[in-house]
Amino acid sequence: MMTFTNRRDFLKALSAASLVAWGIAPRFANAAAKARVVVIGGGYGGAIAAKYLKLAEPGMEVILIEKNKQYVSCPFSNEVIGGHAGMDLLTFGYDNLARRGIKLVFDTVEAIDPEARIVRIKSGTKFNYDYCIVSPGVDFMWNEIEGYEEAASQIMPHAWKAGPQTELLAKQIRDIRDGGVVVISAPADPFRCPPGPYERACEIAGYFKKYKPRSKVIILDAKETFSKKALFEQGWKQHYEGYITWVSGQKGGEVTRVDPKTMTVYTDSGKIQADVVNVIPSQGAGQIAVQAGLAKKGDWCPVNFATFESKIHKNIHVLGDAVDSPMPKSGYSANSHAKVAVAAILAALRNEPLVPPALTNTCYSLIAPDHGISVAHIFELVNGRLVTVKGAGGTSPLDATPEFRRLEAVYAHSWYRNITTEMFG
Amino acid sequence: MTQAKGKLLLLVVGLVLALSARADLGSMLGNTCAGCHGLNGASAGETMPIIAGLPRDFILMAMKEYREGIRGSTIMGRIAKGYNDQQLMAISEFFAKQTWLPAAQRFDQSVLERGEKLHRKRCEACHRDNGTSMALDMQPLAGQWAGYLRIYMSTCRDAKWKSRHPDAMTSICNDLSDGDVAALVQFYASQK
Repeated sequence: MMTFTNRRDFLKALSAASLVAWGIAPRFANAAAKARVVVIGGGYGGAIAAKYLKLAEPGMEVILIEKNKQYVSCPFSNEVIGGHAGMDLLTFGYDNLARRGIKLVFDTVEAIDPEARIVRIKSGTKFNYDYCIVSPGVDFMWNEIEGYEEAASQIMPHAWKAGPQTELLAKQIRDIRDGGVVVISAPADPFRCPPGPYERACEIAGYFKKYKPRSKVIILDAKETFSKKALFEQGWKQHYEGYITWVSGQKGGEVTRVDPKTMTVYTDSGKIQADVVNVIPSQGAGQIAVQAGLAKKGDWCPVNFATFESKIHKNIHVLGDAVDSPMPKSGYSANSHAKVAVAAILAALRNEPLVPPALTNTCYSLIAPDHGISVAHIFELVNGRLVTVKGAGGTSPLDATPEFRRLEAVYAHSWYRNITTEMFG
Repeated sequence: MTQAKGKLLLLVVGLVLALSARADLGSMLGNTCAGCHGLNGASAGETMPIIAGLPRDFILMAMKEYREGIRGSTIMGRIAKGYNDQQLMAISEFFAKQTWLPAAQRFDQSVLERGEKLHRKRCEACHRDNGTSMALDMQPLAGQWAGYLRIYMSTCRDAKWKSRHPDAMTSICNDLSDGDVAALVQFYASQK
């Protein structure tokens, strides 16, 4: 129940509330229009946060600091590896965001000073901020698998950050001999894009079935189960019988060592000589988050889920894969986090109450060009914890018709078009 | 201030605050839909419907039908189950408030006449003014994505589609050929 100490406050609230109700800006506090927000990282979380801040408060100074002049999307990058699309499908520029008045700075962030509220970039420029949004994605844990250091990724690509690595793996798949063996090493949870390794296996197997029918994909897994497992296994049986083998951790799937010189992959139960090795290393919050003390190395950033403000540093909100959260590390989750963080920052600046956060995740995987599967999650905040709403969400049915599968593949493409247009359009 | 006036003012304030809270809840919930349906519901994907500016009661009814499993879907049924009536109302109000923007899409001139004839015969009674009207809480067909309309009409005709569409649409679409559907869809794509 809201109480007012004097008549002026009361009338102020009344007039502001009327304006809000009729959708007329500005609201009674203009602190939002004068604020400066620095967003670090222009991916699925950061680009959306910058855009939504600017849409809500055109007067606000929104600075987006991003390493690369073009963004290359991880979602849908398996389509390039399977030969169904080129890199142009994944590549986006920031021009439209700049046109909206967001200041783009292409540089690496070197430090965040949470006390002084300053972000320093490599060129030496410093930016003061009222709020900082950190959306750095993931960092790889090199050498956790013996022999898999950063240099090894030039021979055994991870292709888990899209760009040259995606092209390298795609080329290796194209160049493989007929009868070749591809090993995908999948990490333990949590990691970016939980269904990604299994969708990738489908894309590669689909290519082999068409062009190199004697070749095979072996997934060596650190885990006992994985996202959408039953649906993937059904899809493998239907489309790729004999092409894909999945080995769980307990059955000797955990990769302990690789030798890029001899293209050998070692597990506790033996070794495999491969033609192409795709090592997806285990991950933690992106480097700048660790450097700023928002998470320990190899770990994820704890946040308050009502606002996505860091539990460690005030006025810093963390989004996307870097967050310690029960939500899957997906593009859609990052998009959803961004909107909650933006609403919280606006509410704080406008001195308005927080609206309960709404968080969702939708994720499509393509098993074949006409066979899509999906998972959906609706989350709610209960006593500070994010939990899925009972009875909602879940995966596509196992007994679905071919028409249902075809529609999900069609929707996957429209989903990608919509979410990327929302970011960069 | 008299007591009566004070009470009235409190009532007004309460109402306005309640509306305001619902507006903010609406954008908070509605924004989560944008990842699939586009910014403020203005879909950029040709098989996802534009939901910006649709009649509130159409959206509300569709979401409730998805939730109850009356309206067939791939993913919407799973999503709609996550929301109570109040949340669905807030989402519906949010999208109804947005501006309808027809899709920028090409159309096939050669089938427009056939499409228009079919529209007059089958659809105009409900989807008035060449499908632009939102009267009777109908969604506009004119300017809607052709990909979405094609899927909608095709699933209406598909007896194997687990939970069928509203009865009226099912009986109207049942005997349409693929060519009929294509012509109708092109006609709506040509209308703005």
